[in-house]
Amino acid sequence: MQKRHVYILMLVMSILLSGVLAGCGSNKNNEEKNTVETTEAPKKEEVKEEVIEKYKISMYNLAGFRPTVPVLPIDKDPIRQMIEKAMNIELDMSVATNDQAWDKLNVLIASNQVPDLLYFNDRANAIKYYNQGVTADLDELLKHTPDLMGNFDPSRWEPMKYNGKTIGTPGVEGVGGINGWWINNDWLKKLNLKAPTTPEELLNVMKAFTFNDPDGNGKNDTYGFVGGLTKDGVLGLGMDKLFLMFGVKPNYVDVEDGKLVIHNIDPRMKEALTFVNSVISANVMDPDWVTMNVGLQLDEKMYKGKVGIMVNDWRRLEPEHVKKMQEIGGSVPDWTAIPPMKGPRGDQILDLKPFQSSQWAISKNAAKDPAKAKRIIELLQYLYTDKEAYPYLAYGVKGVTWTDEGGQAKLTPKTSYDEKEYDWKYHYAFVRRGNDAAYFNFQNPKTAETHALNLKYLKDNNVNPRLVPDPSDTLAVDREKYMNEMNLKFATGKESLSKWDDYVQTLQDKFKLNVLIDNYTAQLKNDGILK
Amino acid sequence: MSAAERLVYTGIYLVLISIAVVCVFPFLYALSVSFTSASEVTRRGIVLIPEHITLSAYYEILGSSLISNAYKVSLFVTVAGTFLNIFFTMITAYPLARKALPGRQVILLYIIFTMMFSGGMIPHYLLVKELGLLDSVWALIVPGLISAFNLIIMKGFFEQLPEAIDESARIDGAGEVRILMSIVLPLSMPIIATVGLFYAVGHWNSFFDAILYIQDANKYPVQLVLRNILLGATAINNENLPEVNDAVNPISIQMATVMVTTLPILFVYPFLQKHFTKGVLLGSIKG
Amino acid sequence: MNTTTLRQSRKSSTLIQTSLYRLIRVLKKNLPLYLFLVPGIIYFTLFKYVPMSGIVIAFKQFNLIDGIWNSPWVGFGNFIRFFEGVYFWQIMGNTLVISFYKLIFAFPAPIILALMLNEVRIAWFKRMIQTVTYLPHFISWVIIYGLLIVFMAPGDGLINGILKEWDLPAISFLTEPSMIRTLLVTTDIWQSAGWGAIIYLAALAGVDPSLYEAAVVDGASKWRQLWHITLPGIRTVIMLMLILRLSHILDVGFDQVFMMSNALNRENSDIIDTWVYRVGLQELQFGIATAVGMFKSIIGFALVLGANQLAKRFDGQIW
Repeated sequence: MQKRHVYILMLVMSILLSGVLAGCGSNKNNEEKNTVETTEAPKKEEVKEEVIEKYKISMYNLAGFRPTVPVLPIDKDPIRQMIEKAMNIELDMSVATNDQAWDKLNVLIASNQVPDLLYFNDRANAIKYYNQGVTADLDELLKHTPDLMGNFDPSRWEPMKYNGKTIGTPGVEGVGGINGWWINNDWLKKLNLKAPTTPEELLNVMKAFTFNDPDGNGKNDTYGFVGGLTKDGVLGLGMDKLFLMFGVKPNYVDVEDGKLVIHNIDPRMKEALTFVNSVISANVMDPDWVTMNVGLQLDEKMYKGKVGIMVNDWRRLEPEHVKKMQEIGGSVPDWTAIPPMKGPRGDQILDLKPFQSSQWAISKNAAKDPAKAKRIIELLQYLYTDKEAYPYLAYGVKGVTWTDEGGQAKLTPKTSYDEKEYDWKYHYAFVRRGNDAAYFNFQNPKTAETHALNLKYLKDNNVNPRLVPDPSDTLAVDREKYMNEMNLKFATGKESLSKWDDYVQTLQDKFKLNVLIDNYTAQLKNDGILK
Repeated sequence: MSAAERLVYTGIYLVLISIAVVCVFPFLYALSVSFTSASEVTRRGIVLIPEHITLSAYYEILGSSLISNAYKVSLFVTVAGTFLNIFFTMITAYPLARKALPGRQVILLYIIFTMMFSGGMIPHYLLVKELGLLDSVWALIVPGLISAFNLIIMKGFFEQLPEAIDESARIDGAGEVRILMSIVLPLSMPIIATVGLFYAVGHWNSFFDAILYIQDANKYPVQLVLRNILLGATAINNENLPEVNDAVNPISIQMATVMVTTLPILFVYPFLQKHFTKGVLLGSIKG
Repeated sequence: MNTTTLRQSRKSSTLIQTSLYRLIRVLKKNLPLYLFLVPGIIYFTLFKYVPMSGIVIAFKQFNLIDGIWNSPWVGFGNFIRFFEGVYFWQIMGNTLVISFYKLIFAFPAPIILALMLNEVRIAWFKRMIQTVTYLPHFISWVIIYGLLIVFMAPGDGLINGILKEWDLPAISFLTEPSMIRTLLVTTDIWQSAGWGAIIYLAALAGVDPSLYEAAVVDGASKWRQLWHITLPGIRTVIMLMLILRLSHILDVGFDQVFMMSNALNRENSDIIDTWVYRVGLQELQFGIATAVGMFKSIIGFALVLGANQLAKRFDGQIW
């Protein structure tokens, strides 16, 4: 009895499994039918009445500032309701974090579920997907939306062009001069020093801060400077600013006097590396710099107050940070923002101007249906230009996260509502303008002064961010690794700078640097930057 | 016991104790950091005992609206998944342990081959999609129904069982099903406990399949929800955006996620441990 | 003439018949067992072999929109790019060296731990140690690296803090190229020894206690018991684990290496998988990623075939 029982069970299970197998076949058929219907249907109706048609638009939103917060169901999300109503669409939005975004997008594309509206964080990525045939040219479509065209400065539209075609619309507006030089003014006064203005003075102040007991506690526990390096080994978190005093930046490419200059092999880079090496070998840097790669670690050093000079965010005198300095360091040092040091050739550069790299793109699939594509571009126009919608998109729910005070929007204090409950509002905040004072809502007047100071020393930045690697340049990734490693070795003194010429030679012979130069030259000529 | 042996035994105990300390210390460290405020951790650097105990990290994590659903999903996937895993692994391993079964080698090789060669992420996604499993918790269970590794371990165990037992059972006229259920199964508790633990922990710890297959945040498993908290809101934006600096979670929250994800599955082990002494039973039957 | 061919054909047809009968008889006799296998075979076919078609990407210039079948063929181009890469010998060497160290040190660790636990007669102590050693398995590499920074950072780390108190030079645990491999192997042992011991403990539970009783009667020392009863008792499991381990000889743990290596120690820690991550996955070159994966699989499969053949001499073969 029992025997037969189990045989039947197994039989049923095998049938079930084969049913599933068969099911996938029929499923596929259904789907194909569906797609055929949807692509054909709108064409017919387009002739009749275009306005009434309600479109379902899928949006792969990587632009939001809180990607770990799930998208709310439509009945709980007043902002999406507002958008859907205004545009007569059904907005199917999905978000993803940095580490998951591309895997997810790739499987969506490979399984023929390309989102209609996609966000790319930088130009290289946008071009990668454009070259794979995922996204569409937008030049024709943009004729429908003059307001969108007019909303952005031509300098922000220009990077949207690739091979003469517009492949995206500007994404999030960057803010320049975020990070600037900070110095502990209490320590300066204690040691009777002046704020440094040249690399040499900077090194001397760093030395004094390290060895002359600036906090007067009798212990050798202070450092002059701290920086860091990225996972790939690019010197950063302020280390890059040391290079900029010499007019160069690691892995950077520029056009100077009508010629392409690869900073990594420029003689000025050698000079900069010599200086960085003198800083590192003088032991004036907090030794933890080698394991630092995120801003939070830098902030912790600032709160602790054992480092006298660093490059950090301009908002660090806002109350929340001052509170942490008090809690962690035990006192609030007189952190003062200073202008960048002037290099041997008079370069006084803090950072590079923001470049409009992030962008929205429309999938080729969606673009096949002109009416739908038009609605998508109109959606972008609505999001970026509608004056009434802006405060809702940028600030959130009216009466909760912001209030209207005599025509001026004002954020409510974060303590007046449960902040976590409203974190989803950041999914729409990507439309915020870079200079929107209401959005940033600073408490300390010094913050604005600091930013104004930082903004004075930004360098033009119209060459490097537009360049993309050539997919046929098979050495691109390995070459970059080699340059990063060698830079690091020169900087830390593991490799003597007398080997500089060998390094440049190896780059040219073994790593075919000319392939890169040719590729970049071609791109820049194409864009009209090189003659 | 000779003096030398006694010395060896003392040595074993000492080594085990020091291994235990090395294993448990970072965990206890993580535990105390999770009860400390972020500021205190930064100020002191190393926190063994918090000056002020705070539950704020746990409020932050457990306050997430997703978390209670996530526990339900993980519990379901772990319990139902492990049950199905064991069932199918067992019925597949049992015949393969019969050395006399014709075609056995070919089938084994067919299965072992899949341990090394895989088609990659995209075809697997396409398959799950075609089967209509996208956005279903079954997508977290069915694609991993049988692990070739666990199958081979179980098969290896079945091979060790004395063949005399089922031969005598067969003479009594018992069918394969009866032999499996009433003779092999009770003898196999150590291996079922082991393989079950492997499967259960695998289910509990996995998050990548959920990243790919699950769109609806209400169906996220615990590991994915907490991983998102752990990594902070690492937004994709990285060019000149002040917002990016604001969204990193402090170490106390990271450590609290370790506690919240680890403790539930940790308690499974002690319950299974008793099965590892069941060898006694096997011996008595054999005798 | 005719009759002979006829006879021959009759002969061969009866031969076919008898072998067919034999086959049917075998099938019939083992029908229940074959039925047991049906769901498993369907599973492996559907979920492993059907997606395995994706492996053709290794020979293609894969394009997301064209998909697996319509992307253009490039022959062995992806393989050649891997083998002729500037860093091929570096990543291959690092992978093999790290893998070898892990095989020598990390593979036996759980066996030794299980054998030690097996000697413990105090039940609560044994359980406690078991539970505690299995703890680290649940800590992800992100967290482990975070803890390493707490203890080993060059400035604020606990160990270097103590060294500084004593005026000793700091040790760059996390950035010195000569340290990274040791760090990878020790953290691997720390994380996985307790977990890995479970399988051996289960095997030890299966060793017949009457053998020990007989040995005690014979007056065999503990050492002799270990050599003649315990180790032979778990020998097949050890061989099984070793064979399975060999199948992943070129996988040395991407998550761990990616997390713990950095630009300063990369010359000793850059492995095949991290290279594939940079060159293949980040650049949408799935063809290269698949080709390298296939290369690793072939090596693994060859080793498993060889090891299984060898294991037959000790009756420890998998199939």
